[in-house]
Amino acid sequence: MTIPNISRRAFLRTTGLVAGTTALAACAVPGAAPAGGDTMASEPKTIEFVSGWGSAVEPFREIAQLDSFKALAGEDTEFNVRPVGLEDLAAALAAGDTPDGGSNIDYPGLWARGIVIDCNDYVNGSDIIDPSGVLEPVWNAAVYGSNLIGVPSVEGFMWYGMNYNAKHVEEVGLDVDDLPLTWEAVMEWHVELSKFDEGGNVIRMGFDPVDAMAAEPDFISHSFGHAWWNDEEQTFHFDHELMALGIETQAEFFRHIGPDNFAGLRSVEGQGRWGGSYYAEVQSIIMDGYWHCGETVSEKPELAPFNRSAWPPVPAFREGAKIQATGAHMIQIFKEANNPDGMFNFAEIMHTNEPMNIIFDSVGWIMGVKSFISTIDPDTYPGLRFYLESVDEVTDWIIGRRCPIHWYMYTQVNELREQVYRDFMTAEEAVAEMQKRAEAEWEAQGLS
Amino acid sequence: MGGAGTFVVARWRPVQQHPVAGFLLPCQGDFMAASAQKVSRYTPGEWRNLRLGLLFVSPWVVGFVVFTIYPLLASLYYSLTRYDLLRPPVFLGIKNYTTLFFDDPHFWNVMGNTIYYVGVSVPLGVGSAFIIANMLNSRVVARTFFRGIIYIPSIVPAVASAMVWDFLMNVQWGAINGLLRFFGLPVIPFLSNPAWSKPSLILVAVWANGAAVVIFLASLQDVPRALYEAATVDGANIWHRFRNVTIPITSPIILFNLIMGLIVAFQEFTIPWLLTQGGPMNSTEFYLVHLYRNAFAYLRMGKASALAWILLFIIVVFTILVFRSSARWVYYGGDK
Repeated sequence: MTIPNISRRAFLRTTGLVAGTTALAACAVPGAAPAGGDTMASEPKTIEFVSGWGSAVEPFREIAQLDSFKALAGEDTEFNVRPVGLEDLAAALAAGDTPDGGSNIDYPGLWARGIVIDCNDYVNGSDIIDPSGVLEPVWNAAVYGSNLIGVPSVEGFMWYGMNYNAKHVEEVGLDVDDLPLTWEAVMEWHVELSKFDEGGNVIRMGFDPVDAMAAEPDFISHSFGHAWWNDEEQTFHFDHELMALGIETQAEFFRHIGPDNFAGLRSVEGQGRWGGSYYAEVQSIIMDGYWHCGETVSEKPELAPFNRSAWPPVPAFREGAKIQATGAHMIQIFKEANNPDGMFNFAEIMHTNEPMNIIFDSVGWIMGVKSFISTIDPDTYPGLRFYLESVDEVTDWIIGRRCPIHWYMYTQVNELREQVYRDFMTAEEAVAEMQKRAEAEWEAQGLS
Repeated sequence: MGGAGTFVVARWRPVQQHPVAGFLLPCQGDFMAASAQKVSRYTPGEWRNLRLGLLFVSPWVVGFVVFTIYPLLASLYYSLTRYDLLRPPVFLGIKNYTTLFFDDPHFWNVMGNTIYYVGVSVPLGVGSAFIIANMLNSRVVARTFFRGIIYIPSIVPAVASAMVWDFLMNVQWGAINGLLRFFGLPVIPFLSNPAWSKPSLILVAVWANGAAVVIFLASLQDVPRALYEAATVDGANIWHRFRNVTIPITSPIILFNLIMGLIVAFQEFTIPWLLTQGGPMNSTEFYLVHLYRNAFAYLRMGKASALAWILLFIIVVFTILVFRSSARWVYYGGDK
């Protein structure tokens, strides 16, 4: 066999031709199919879904395998779900790699920026979704004006509760039959439950005011009978004496622990994340939602039997108020979605008992569908009974996380609260600064 | 004009007057003139070579244009817009810049943090690296072992380093505070107190400065022995030799490490992000941490781009200042 001689010019010409052809092929429209309706019809349909909460990804995959879903969306439907952070999602949207829908994402933020569609027409045409069968505040969490910014489908029940470690409470001789219902009483428990070593280093804190739902601006303002965000007028009301009082009240909890001790405790790997210090048993009281009961079972099964739940506190001047919040983890459908119908099919199937049970069994989340709630065994998870049985006793409801810059203000409130409990500014100065920052951000984001 | 040749020679003539040396360089001038004349008379073979050359460098050129020039220009444009990735950019002019300078509640605090960090960590890092390199250049026991030990931190992944330092410096269960507590001493809130957080991060940065030590070591080994011997004969003691021989000869390397240190310190991100995420009380909110937060937590790409351009400007200014000052203290042998 002889190797043919090839000149440099011929070699370059050939490689250039190959490279050019390859580049042209790469530039071709992806998925372009040859002409012919039959070929197009036989292509599998794909649903691209993103979840802002990683733990929900596996249950979503399981639901997509259900026969009922395949019957609704088509046997050949392929369902892809991946966990995302805000930056991943934003980058994907900017790059044109738009998923069909998402959950556990910044719902009002995406709606305010015109990224997702109004789902009213889809829901009105559905034989499966019955809005009247969903708890009213849960459904309303997705209603902005006359628009439905997503389909409440994944989760929506009671978001606030004072969850406590009964073992710790009993250890220090506190009476579990005399639960603290005011901030003043919670402070007493905080003092009793917090433990220090001989050097003054904290071993355990009674209550961490920036963990879980306690960190949210909604929680502290609602507890003190105030609303920092007016949904109808789209205005901010941080600069208010009740907000300042709430921030100052929380600051006292930090001061008892010591700001440096507190920061040190949270900086231990895992203890700074949502609920991490409670599961590590270095926090005895956590303000969290009903899901905390199921999550405790999955995060730390040996702790779960000691988990109890009760009403979240209010200040003494509001004693007797039973506050609660809800919202909806919904499925939002993106404007640029390739398969919005398939995405809606997935939202629809989430309103049937089988998927709701999968979600509840795997991550402890409850979708606020009345018929489903009535099927839940209140003793499934320790502490859950309180939430299921107290829903009719709520005196003050709010829908949480309504503001399109909620998550931005969440960071600002935490930052300014730290300046208060480290005594670098007063609570009054902090809430005035919150107001200023909220208005500046609203304008800077082009939302005014 | 007498044709291309005349024109080219005439054009190149001023170059023959060396701007610094102040005298004519006839050989250089002739060569340039000849080269320039050739440009206008490429033979077919030379044209082919030029095309081939361009073809071979084209992957780099394309990569440079697509991955460096385009993002650079795009970020300049975005810095003049409001852009959140979700909606098309809206042109704002220089508003992002004026907002940062006059209305941003964090910007000047971030600048202060960064200048503090750069101002302390860079001289400390360069100085300690220089001293350690000198120690390792002397005849100490187990010199090779120590050289390895000193270099290891600079090749440990930043995430691993951060985990180790987090374990060491935690106020509750940190190993260092455990020791202090054992001896009945007060604990140090390294990462949880605003007064301690920056010095603690500077400590981590200086610890991981092994690369500078290696560069200094290489330069120290190039210092001619004859200079030390001559200095010794002239009665110089160890300090005199260090002061008058070692430092001048290695001063170009000190300059190099200083400038590289400045550039790296201004862009410090990984360790502060992993250890403190800008806290406590924004005391470690360094420039790049703030930039990252604006870009990826708040989706303010326009503002983040403006921050990036301001940072570029700051680094260029500092680099120029250091270069300017180098005329006074850097020794380039006979080429000064």
